[in-house]
Amino acid sequence: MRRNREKKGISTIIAAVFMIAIIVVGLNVLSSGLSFQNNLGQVVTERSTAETEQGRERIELRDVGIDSNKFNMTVVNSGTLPAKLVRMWVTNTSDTTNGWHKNYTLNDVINPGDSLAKLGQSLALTAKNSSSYELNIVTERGSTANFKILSPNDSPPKLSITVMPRSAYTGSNVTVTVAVSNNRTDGNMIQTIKPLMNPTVTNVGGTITPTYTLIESPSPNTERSLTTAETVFFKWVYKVIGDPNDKINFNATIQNAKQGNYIIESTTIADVSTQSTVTGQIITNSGIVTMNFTTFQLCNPSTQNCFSNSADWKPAWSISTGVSNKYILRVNLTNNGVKDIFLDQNTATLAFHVQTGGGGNAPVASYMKNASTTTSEDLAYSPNYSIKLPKKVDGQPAQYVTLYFGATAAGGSTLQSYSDTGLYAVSIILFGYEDGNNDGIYQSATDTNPYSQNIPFQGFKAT
Amino acid sequence: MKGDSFVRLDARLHIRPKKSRSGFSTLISTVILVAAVTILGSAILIWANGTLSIEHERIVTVYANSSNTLRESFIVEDIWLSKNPADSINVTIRNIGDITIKIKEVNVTAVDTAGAKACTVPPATIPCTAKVIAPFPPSSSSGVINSTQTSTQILTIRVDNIDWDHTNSDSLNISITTERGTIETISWKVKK
Repeated sequence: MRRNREKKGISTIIAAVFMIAIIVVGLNVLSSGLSFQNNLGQVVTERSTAETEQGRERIELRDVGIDSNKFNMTVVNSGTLPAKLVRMWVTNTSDTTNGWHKNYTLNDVINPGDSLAKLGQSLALTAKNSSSYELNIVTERGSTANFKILSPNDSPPKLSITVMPRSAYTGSNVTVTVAVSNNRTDGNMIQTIKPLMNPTVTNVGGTITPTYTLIESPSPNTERSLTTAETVFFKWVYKVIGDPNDKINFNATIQNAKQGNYIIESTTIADVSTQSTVTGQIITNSGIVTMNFTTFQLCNPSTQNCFSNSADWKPAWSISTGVSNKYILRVNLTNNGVKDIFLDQNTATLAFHVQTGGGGNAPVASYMKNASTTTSEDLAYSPNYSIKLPKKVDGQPAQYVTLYFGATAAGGSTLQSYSDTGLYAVSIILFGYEDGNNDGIYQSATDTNPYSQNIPFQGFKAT
Repeated sequence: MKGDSFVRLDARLHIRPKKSRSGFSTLISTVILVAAVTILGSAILIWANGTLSIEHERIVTVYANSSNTLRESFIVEDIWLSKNPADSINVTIRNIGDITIKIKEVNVTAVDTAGAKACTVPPATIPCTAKVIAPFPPSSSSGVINSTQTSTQILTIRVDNIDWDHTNSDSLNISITTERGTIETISWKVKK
């Protein structure tokens, strides 16, 4: 019986061995399957990571120009990962006949937030200002950035022009401003904006042939590129000469412009007589002579040295009465108008005495006199209209003239004094004539347009 | 006498000598049983091993293909609608994955604004669909694109005889299929 059980156990053992073998094989397959599953999971993770990184990669073109017949671009990495540029495709979109399409290998890494300047300067690529280009930059992760830079010939920018003044005196300066705008809405740039100005003249007759002289030209005279909605201004200044109603026409365009992309504006030589009327109205209404109060000074030649360079000239408001105290006043006046003004000898200061209890005296007039010099201090104003308040010239600061007052009579040399103590309100009363023919010289025949102005400016306390 | 009587009794009872008869049959049955277990066990083992090996191979293949397919990654870096030669387009593909890929075919269809095929093709005219397989023009490439950082990382394939600038053509549907079955489809606006 014991031997029988042992024999039966052999078959059981054999069966068990087979079963174990089968289980081992099965487990092996299962293990392999799990291993592959794990590997697949890793691949999925890697792909997901790569796609996420590609999504975080972003490059932008901030500036494009063509320098020395080569692209000069600045590319900014605005993403959060380093970007490696590996390829640039360039298409000359102006070449529609043959098709100009090339690629260049890049090997530039841009850190996040950093930029790469002068991209394209080292490439074996000749770029023309007259052509438009489409650029496509590819990164190592497969991101692409597409840019276009257009020639003014393919994408004419908007031009506008301003001429100031539209009506100019002969011999005056005219400022011409040209604005060039990129009014595209697709975000593309327009390259190499170089303005061109071609003035012409329209001669309506008269004695003078109209001419223009360039005084100032744009600086810098070229803008590398214009981004969307960007505007650049260029300014010229011309001196124009001509007879009344002659015209100077300013024809502006840009280099490589499309046919018809230009703009014209004119300035007309003004009729002097007409302008005089207008100027006279301005003078009447508001006055164009101004006084620099800080330059007002007094001097008493009875007791002081009143030569023009003397240190005795001082700002003051206190004066002494009596015939022994003569006074000379001086102050700087500026003509802001467009014509010279020749001063009449009746130009004077008027000191109005404040009378207690009403009534009053005639104001004390101190008439204009010739300027004191380093050797003379009481010269009469002579000849009449010899002192000129010069006009303001465009582009230059207005000129001032120091006027001296103190004569008891128009054109006289006797110096004025003040008899009454108390307070005085003082004004300058100006009389004169405009320079009608704009020649800078007083001529009674032509300079007939009168000018006058009252400038209240000072107070005195007389003791 | 006693012995005779026992023999007779055994004979009457058909009882043979226990030791000799019992050992033979047991031996036979044991052999048979062991043989049967062995044969059956071997058969089952062979069957199980074979079946599981096949399954193992299948799993290996499936996972390897799936894994490689997932690792395949490429972009269409550039498309150039060419007029020289006319009626052809150049598709430049960049391998951005980490394994080598092999392009199986490239299909191009010119479609109109509604997405329908841009033209029906009367005889002797240029069709609005085109398909190209290896060797791919213009360089007779086999379609293999390496993943290393070399010039072989990109491949330009020219698709000829496609009426991309047909009057009705608005865009091109370009489909690129790899040997592993990855399909990349893009739509490219035609600028005429």
